Amino acid sequence: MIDFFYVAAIVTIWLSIIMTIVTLTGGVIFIFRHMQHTDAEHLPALSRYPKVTIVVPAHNEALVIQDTVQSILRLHYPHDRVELLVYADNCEDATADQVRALMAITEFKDRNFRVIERTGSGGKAGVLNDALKIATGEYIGVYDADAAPETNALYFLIQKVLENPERYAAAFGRNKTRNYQQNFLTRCINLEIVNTQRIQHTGLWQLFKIGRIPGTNFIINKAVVQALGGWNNGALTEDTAISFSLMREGKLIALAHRAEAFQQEPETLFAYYNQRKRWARGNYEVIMENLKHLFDGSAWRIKLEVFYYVCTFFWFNAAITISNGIFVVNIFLGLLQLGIPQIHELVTLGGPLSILFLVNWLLMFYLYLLQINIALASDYGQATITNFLYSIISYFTYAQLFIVVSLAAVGAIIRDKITGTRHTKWYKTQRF
Amino acid sequence: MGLVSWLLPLSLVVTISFGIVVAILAVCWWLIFRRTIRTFNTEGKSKPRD
Repeated sequence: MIDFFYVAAIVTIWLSIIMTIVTLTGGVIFIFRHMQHTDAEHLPALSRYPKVTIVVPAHNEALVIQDTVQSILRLHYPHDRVELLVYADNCEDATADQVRALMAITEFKDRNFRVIERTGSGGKAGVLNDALKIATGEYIGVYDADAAPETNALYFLIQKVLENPERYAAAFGRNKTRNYQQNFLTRCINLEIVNTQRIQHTGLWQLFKIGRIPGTNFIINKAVVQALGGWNNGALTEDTAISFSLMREGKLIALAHRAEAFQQEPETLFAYYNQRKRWARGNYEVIMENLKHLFDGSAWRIKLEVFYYVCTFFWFNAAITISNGIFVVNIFLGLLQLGIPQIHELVTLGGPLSILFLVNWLLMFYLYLLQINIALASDYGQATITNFLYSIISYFTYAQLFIVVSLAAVGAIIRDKITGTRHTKWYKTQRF
Repeated sequence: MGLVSWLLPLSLVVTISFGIVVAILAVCWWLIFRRTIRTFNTEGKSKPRD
């Protein structure tokens, strides 16, 4: 029996190493291929400029909404081809008034934008579905209320979908952390974001043409979303859900790597825990819903995505939880052994086997450092000694939080299944 | 430990293969680092970045 566990453990480690190596290789190829690029000040004109309806869902965002709206209105894209809808969704603050105040400014007087005070349900997906009914654009763009897109972000998104309008139903850009220097947590989140954007996204796009819609900084073809029946109302991660829906339709979600937007990340552990727990729970729900596609006649991209999510959220999570559990129990038993020699540790590794596991663990750790530091090297101003040190520390601290969050999410799902109710409390991320 | 007897030689081959790939990726990191640092330093903060 114990032999089986050794084999399962080593196969799990190998699989995770292979997945990391594949993604990292794709990311590295992408980075090398995109080192040279057109000067942002001399961008070529697009073959056409489709009208875009930009939607900003905002729930009590009075503190940041003006900056966001101004950033969007100043995007380098023909002004008559942009419609902006700001949804003050169940707001109890002055979000709507803050947007109206901008309408009086001369610079924005002739711009096509309005604020809609909404009291309906459905959360962000509900807002997007409402916008879908009234949007006049060919594409719908989404920015969160704390987003600050760079001036050419929309240009690059449109440029990408126009490369293959039939196939590319959506395009997504890169999000960057604007408050990463705030504290230890935000610095670690920044490492994760840089790694996700510059290795995971690029690697998957480079090798498999797989993209995932993020919550912000993306455009999507309105007709395609309408054909899909809109967003899944009340979904915890409406972005993951719509990504799977698009892939099931044989559409691609293209990476527009130069479309960048800044966003705020949680600065407290409480805010981080609640945000990530919601994401994890939403992802678990989407995985469960799409699990059947592993075994039916779905396209290979769907199978690969489901396999990736199953490995990350189920297999690897379970493996790490068990190994951490054994580690803690072993320490406990080891301490007891000092007083009571008859007690033995749960698992002991001796000889070549211990070296084998140690070498593979070191490889995993080294790969973790390598992928983060390759991502950092490819981003302006991120390849610093401070970030290098944080990448080492984060492995033993921040990265372990994912296990806690995932277990809490699984616990919440099981609780809801047993009680037959759905406890979904939205914790708003505090703005600064 | 019957299973482990075949596991060890296989593991050695797999682990060495991983080691070689990771070493190549480490060289890639150095190449990217050298090229991007040079680009960022010459272009300055006001210029576009990738």
